[in-house]
Amino acid sequence: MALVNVKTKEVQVKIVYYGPGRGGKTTNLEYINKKYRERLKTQMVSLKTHDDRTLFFDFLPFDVGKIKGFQIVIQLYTVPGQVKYNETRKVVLGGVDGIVFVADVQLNQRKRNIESLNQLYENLKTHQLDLFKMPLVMQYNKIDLKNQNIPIIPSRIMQKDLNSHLKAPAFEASALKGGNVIPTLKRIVSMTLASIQDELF
Amino acid sequence: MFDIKAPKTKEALAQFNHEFSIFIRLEDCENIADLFNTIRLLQNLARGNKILEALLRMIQSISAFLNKNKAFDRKLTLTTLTAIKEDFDSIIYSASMSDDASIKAYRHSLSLFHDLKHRIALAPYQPLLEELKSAILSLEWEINPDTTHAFSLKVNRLKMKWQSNKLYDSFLNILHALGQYTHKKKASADEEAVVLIRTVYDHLETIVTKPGLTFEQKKSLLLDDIQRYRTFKAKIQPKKTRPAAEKPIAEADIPELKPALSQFSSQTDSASMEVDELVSLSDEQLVAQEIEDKNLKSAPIQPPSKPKTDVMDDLFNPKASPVDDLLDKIHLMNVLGKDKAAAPGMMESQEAGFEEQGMKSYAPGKKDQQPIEEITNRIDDFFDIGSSAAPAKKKTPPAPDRNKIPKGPIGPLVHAVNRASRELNLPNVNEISIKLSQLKTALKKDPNIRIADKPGEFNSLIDAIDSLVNTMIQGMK
Repeated sequence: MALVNVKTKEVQVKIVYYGPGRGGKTTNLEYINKKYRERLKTQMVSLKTHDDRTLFFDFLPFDVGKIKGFQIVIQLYTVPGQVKYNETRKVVLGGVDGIVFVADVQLNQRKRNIESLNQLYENLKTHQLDLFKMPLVMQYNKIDLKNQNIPIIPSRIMQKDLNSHLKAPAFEASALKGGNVIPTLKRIVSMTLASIQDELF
Repeated sequence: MFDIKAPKTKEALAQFNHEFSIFIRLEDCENIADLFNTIRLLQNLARGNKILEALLRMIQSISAFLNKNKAFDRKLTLTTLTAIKEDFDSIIYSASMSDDASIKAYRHSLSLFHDLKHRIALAPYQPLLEELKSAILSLEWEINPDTTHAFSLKVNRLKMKWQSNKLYDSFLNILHALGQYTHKKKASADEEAVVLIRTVYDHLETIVTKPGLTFEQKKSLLLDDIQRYRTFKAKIQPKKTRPAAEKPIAEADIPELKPALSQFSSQTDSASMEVDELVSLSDEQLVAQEIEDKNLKSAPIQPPSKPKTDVMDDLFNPKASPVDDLLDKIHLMNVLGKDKAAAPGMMESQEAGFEEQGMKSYAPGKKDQQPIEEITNRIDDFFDIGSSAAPAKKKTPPAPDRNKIPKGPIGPLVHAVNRASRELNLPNVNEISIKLSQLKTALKKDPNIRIADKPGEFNSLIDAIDSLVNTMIQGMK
């Protein structure tokens, strides 16, 4: 739920990057943080395990400026992708306003993508949220691996596997190289703000 | 001619037998000088008889070694020495011995002598070989970082000692390569790797410890091992490369899987929703992105300025960051269990506090609507890395489409009309009035804005008002 402080005219929007482990959620935030570090004026918070895996979550807040007199603060979060941290994922999803589902296009990750999306639906249900009624953007990450002779899933199959029911906007991306990372972010921020514009602006 | 019946020879032989028996029996070998003198005397007497001369030289050489080196295998040395002495005796005391038998006895002694000499030469390396063997046994038992490291260490030590011996070095090179492989792959290493290590080691040990082998036999063993190694390498090679990646995967080759959320999709009528297009990413776009990122000035990282507070302030100040709240929740979940951590009372009290602070919450929903112009412009400006103070972006006029809100001065008005079309009520109609007056003011302030320059926007406005009128007519009916 977007938090609005009517006294200070500040709107806080929470966007969560969700997806299977090692899919590139943290890499998305790291790219955003690196590219806009001068503009964001905030620091990315990242709690990692000894082998560089996300332990709790990553957090990157930034202020995009005013819209109709309201200061818009976007808070980007990632969830830990490892299977064992599902309870942490549930907690991080609390109060979410928009979701970017970061799927891994490697052929051997196909089932994990589907399982992760199914689990996202279940986890949102614990917060009385419906994935079908949430602002959502699909991101098919690691598309650049096709140039390294690594078998990847064609985007049409990705759409069929993950997006045939949700019908959300989808982006092919390479978080490592920054390909379509910002368009993905712009789209989810835009969708999330649009979803509350009638009540707010 | 060596005549054992000659008194001088007879006396010398008796002296030799006596001193030799004392030398063999006594550990301290005090009379070694006497023995050597007698041997020299016999060598003079046997001059011309090459077999006897050679045997006497062997006896002298081994005796001298025995006298100087106490650490070496004494039993083996004495056995060899005694055996050579027996061959010497059999030649000189057996009157009926043929020349062939003499040569055979000589060859037997020579073989024993060379074997001993080889073992003496090998002595410094024997412990290293034993250690390598032990390391292989450990590797056979378990492949872990310790055993692979120990194996590599032993191989490298021997390589340093035998770097001038091409034959030994070749065996060690194979062992080194196999050691590197097992170290890298650890428990997932192919089982055949350790078997091959053992085979190569056995062959190395054979050629090192058995001097009787001919060069051809040694070479044959080495070539066999090289071939085995090549076969093994070819076997593990496909695991390193990805055979399937040579050609792109055809969609037909990918098996059908039940799409995600199939079990939940009946809960909504999502099938009727319009599918958003997939935004693809070409190689050219990726390269362009990389070039753009490289060209950007790498701004120095400046940590956000913090107001100076002392440590006690930090300790007693209430937590304000959402990260702290989230960490608290995760911590509570870990400590109390997931059910208690999500106690409903906590959130209710929190929300009550929100209202006091002027906070309201809005639940976003997936609505099929375009963002208003201000949202789009604000986001575009923020993420346009070239803009510094978020100037208004020049945009091409959109195509006249009643579902799309045009950008520019007319946009807010069109948006207000669209909203009233969906839900006709007094606030929405009032909003049209407000937006219309704002547009008039904007037109007065900026005479450069001319509707005629933006026919697409103007058409959109006409379409939107037309839509509103239709809605109102429908409502009146």
